[in-house]
Amino acid sequence: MTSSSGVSTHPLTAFGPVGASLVRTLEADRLASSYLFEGSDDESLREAALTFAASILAESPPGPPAGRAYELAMVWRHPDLHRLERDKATVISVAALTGILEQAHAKPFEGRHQVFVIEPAEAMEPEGIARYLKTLEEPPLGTVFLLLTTRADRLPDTVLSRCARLRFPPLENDVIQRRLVRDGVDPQEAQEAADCSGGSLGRARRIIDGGLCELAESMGAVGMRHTPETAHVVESVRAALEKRAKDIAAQQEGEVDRGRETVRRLLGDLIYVMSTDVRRVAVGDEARFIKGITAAEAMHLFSLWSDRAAAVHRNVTPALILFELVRTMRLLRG
Amino acid sequence: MLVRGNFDMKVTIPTKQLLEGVAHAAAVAANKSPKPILECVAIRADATTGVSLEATDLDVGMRFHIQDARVDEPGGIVVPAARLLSICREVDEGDTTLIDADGGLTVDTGRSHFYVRGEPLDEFPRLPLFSGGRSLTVPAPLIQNMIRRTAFATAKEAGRFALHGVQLRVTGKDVEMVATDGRRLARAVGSLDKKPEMDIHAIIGPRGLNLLERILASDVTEVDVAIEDRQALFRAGPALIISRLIDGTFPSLDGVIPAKSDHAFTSTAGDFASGLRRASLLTTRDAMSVELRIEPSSLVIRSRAREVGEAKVEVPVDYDGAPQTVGFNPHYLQDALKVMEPGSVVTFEFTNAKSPGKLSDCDEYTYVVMPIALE
Repeated sequence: MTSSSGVSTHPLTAFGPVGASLVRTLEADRLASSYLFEGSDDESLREAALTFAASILAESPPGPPAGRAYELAMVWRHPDLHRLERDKATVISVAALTGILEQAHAKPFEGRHQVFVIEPAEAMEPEGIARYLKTLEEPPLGTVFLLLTTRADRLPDTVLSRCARLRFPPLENDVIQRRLVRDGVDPQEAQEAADCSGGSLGRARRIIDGGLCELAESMGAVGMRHTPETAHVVESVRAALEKRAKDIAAQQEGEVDRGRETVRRLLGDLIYVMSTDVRRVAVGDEARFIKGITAAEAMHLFSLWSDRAAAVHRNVTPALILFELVRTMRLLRG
Repeated sequence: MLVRGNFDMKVTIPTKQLLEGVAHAAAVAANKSPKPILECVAIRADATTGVSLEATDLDVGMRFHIQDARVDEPGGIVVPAARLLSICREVDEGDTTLIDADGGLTVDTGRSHFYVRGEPLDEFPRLPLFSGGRSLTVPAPLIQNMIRRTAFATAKEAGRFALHGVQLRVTGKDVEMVATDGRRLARAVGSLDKKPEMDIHAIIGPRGLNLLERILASDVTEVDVAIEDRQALFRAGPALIISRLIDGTFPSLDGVIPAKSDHAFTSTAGDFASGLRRASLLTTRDAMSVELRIEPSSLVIRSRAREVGEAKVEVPVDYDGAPQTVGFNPHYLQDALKVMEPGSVVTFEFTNAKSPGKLSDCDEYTYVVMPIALE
């Protein structure tokens, strides 16, 4: 990574002051045994954790990390980088966590450290948390745990108090754009997705993967033009969202809740993307998705979007929200 | 030949040796791992050192040197271990030529030709070299016997992770291996011919030790052992076995091994094991204990499980004291008896029903087991 002055900068500085503090920690070689990465977007947290883990494992002299260890870690292939995710429908099982803890008590394979990324940390079962805490009482030398969470309120105080807590703000758009380009996304498309992401790498990826821009465009067009096909299109969108839930549920028995969560997240993204564009209309910017409305209408619509976005986060049925949104838009147009 | 374009590695190996090496490597490679490269075997060809095969699941690693390989072009590649093993089992006898080309491995042997997609060698975990720094040489039968007599006693449950390994301690010429799970303890000692340059203390995972014990061929007379910062290395003939060290503090043995017991009986390992095996037929998971009633010249082993039934087995022993009754987990006793010669004379020492028992068949081996309170 290179700054505008041409001087190489540490990749962790892309994560703002929190990233900069981690760089200082690395340079002082004063790593904690357990960190809690908090934020609103799980993928951004994962990106930060991966960059931090790779920087630890690179064992480079002060400055930007480099070399085989760093490159392998950045694609999760370093032998001393381990990742623990949900292995059952909604939880990280005790058995899976125990396996990781056992590994943590062995010496690192290649270098001085081994890093364990646990995400989402709140998915650990209570018995698993108890075992994790026991390990933290006498942390194995050279072992670093990175706990990722978007819901720190669901973690017990015993965990929170034993971790170095770091709250990550939304990412800068150029950080997201660079990461997407590194994943092979076309730079222009990456820029557009980053602009609509609100600082969320996850949202940007979903925009790219799920064609969310197109979906938002369709919804906007249908709602504002008030065409006779409205009901049909809305039904199609609803069916698509419902199908998404069922598809995910079908992948693994017992994952219905995760499927619903994904639909809620997609709908939340859709609302965000659309409200972003409504806001642009309101301030006179070029409207990408919704055309032909006045600034006052746009402001009104924006407030409606915001209410619905909040409703989605309150766990209201996604399909109902979608219907309500479109009905409101139709009323707005008379 | 299926070779396309330029190649980086070309070696010719007697098929039999290749199969032996790949079979060893495939046994070490992970069956299924979130890191797919751990399911692979790495082939390295060097003009000076020859050809070696490497595999690891990060807990245990192996480097197997192929003795009669011809290196035409040095290089290396990583390919799925199970796939390569399947191929090696099916190819013709004679020589096999391996060529790294276009990101894959061409296996060419007489009338059969295969091309297997591979991964870059640089992505494979780096196994340490045997530097010989903190190293010693142990007679193969000694280390084999010590491993067999201790590794089974390591802890299996999560918790005190240091107990998941075998403690190796070398002090002067004395070498000691100890394993315990908190309910039983196995200790084997031996003596080296030559004093190593420095003392050694490490906790080693049992999987690497068990692998070493299994692969020690009859023609291997010595094992070179080196303890590095992170791993223990065992060089035995063409194989180098790498076992990760366990971080932690092994419990002190002070007071764990009874220095003196009030009572003792002797029997053969085979008779004692047989009696325990028969009596344990009527134990259950919830009632995993047997009563040992020791009387002059006889040991009566009883088991009783309310929902199953009861057993009473008599074993001839040499004992001339007052009758005593103690309780133990029969499987713990059998585990130790299994590693003893059936005809060997074993001594079982105990003091009372609340004290640990001590089983031994020679001065170099001690097995301590905690008692179980009988109903």
